[in-house]
Amino acid sequence: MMKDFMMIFLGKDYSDAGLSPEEIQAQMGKWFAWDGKMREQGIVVHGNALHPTGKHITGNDAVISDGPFVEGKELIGGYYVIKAENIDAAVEIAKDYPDFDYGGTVEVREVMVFE
Amino acid sequence: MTNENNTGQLVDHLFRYEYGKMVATLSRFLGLSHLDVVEDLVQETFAQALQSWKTTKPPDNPAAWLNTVAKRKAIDLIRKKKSDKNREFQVSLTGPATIQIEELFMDAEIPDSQLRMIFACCHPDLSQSDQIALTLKVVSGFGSKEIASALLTKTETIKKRIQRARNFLKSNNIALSIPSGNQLIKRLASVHLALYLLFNEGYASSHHVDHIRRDVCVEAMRLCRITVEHPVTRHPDNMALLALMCFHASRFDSRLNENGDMILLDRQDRSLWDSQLINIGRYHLHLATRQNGFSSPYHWEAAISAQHAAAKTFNDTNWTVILSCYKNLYALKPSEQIRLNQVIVLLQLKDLDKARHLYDCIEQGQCDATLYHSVGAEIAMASGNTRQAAQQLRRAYEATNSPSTRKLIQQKIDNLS
Repeated sequence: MMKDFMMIFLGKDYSDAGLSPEEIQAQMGKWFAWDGKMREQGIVVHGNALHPTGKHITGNDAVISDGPFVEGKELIGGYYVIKAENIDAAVEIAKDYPDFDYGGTVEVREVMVFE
Repeated sequence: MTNENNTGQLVDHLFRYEYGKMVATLSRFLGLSHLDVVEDLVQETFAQALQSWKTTKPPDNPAAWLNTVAKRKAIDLIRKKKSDKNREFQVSLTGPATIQIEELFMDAEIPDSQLRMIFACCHPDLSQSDQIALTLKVVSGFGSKEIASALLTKTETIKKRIQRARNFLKSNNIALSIPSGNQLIKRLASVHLALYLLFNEGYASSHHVDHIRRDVCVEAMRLCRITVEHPVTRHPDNMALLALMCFHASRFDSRLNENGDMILLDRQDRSLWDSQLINIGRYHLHLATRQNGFSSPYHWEAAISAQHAAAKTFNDTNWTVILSCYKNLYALKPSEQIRLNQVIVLLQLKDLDKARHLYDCIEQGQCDATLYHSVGAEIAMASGNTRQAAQQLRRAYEATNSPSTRKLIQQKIDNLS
């Protein structure tokens, strides 16, 4: 029975990574290849990228402030929801995440199902 | 890991090309004194593209997407700065910003903007090494690390050169314009020299060879073509320079063996020479000489290269014509390196006396030491003096750090004994 897992990508904004145009394109190529591989296997439920800025709402008074929310390194850049047998299989997929070279991190979490 | 060569649906080097185009275009809009701001803005646009395409896919027309986003960022920047109390920015924006940004992004304007940028980057008051670094960064979209690896320098050195050059443009209020009148010829000569040196950096045989170096050659050719194709800058010199580059570039595939070692002209498989590039070279050399004949050193260098291209085998080379080309080249641009090349040609013509005589006149310190001693070894060998030949070859070996050149010399030493 396949379960849904969310891969959450954490890292700094690419514009701070000092990549050359050629490196950015190469990095994009890695992402396309990874995305293509997962889609070929039919395991992608959906995936999205997030803008680096937004609003931060907190406290009893719902205080609104502008993002970015945390210092560079832990910015959530995007996520995929994928299908996998178990957490180990999901981690195996996450090992192909292309941004490890640029100090990125992947968090793998199982999506809760209520029956 | 996934396949690194798979760049999805994007054309090779798309970002690098777009970088140069967008920086040139936006600098016309925001003014060259804001080059650093413009470069940051384009960089941000690319980062945004990577961020938003990576989990979906690129739009149908990626270049148009990039241009639109960069345009919007530039307009936002102006709005923001106008409302700020940033007077410096406000004042300097009134000039160039009056040009409509939409007009600048039209296809027909792009070569014009790039040409203006080439003139700025190759400003004669900048040192040649600064010109080359800035051109590769700003016009060609190379990263500092890539430039450093192509020029065999440290990344930090390149960053310093680029920063120094940017500061020069800013503090001297260099305009992003195509020079006219008396200035045009002088500035154009500076551009030609920079492009010539840029090509040579990529082509130089004494360095280790890398794909990035080939990219540098292709880029030098592209920029040279921009000067040839623009009606204002079209000149016999840049046509001759383009011809020269084409002839050299036609041999790319035959210059290296499968181990990446250099193959000299006499051993190259001439069937690998790119006949299309040779034809383009011939065509441009013809155009370059139509009005005033062979009027610059580029013309004569191209003529020499054309002779090699025309020879079906090494033995078919017309050394008599090449020798007279070198003499004419020397008359326009006297250098010991050219005389050394003449010695090589004289040796091919079996004129040992003249070769030895000319060789003895050459100032050793003024030319490439490895080549100097290698030629000395050839003369000694032709004279039957094996011991001296071996001595010269060992000096040639010591004078280079290039593994492939050393390998070639070692082979010659081994063949002597």
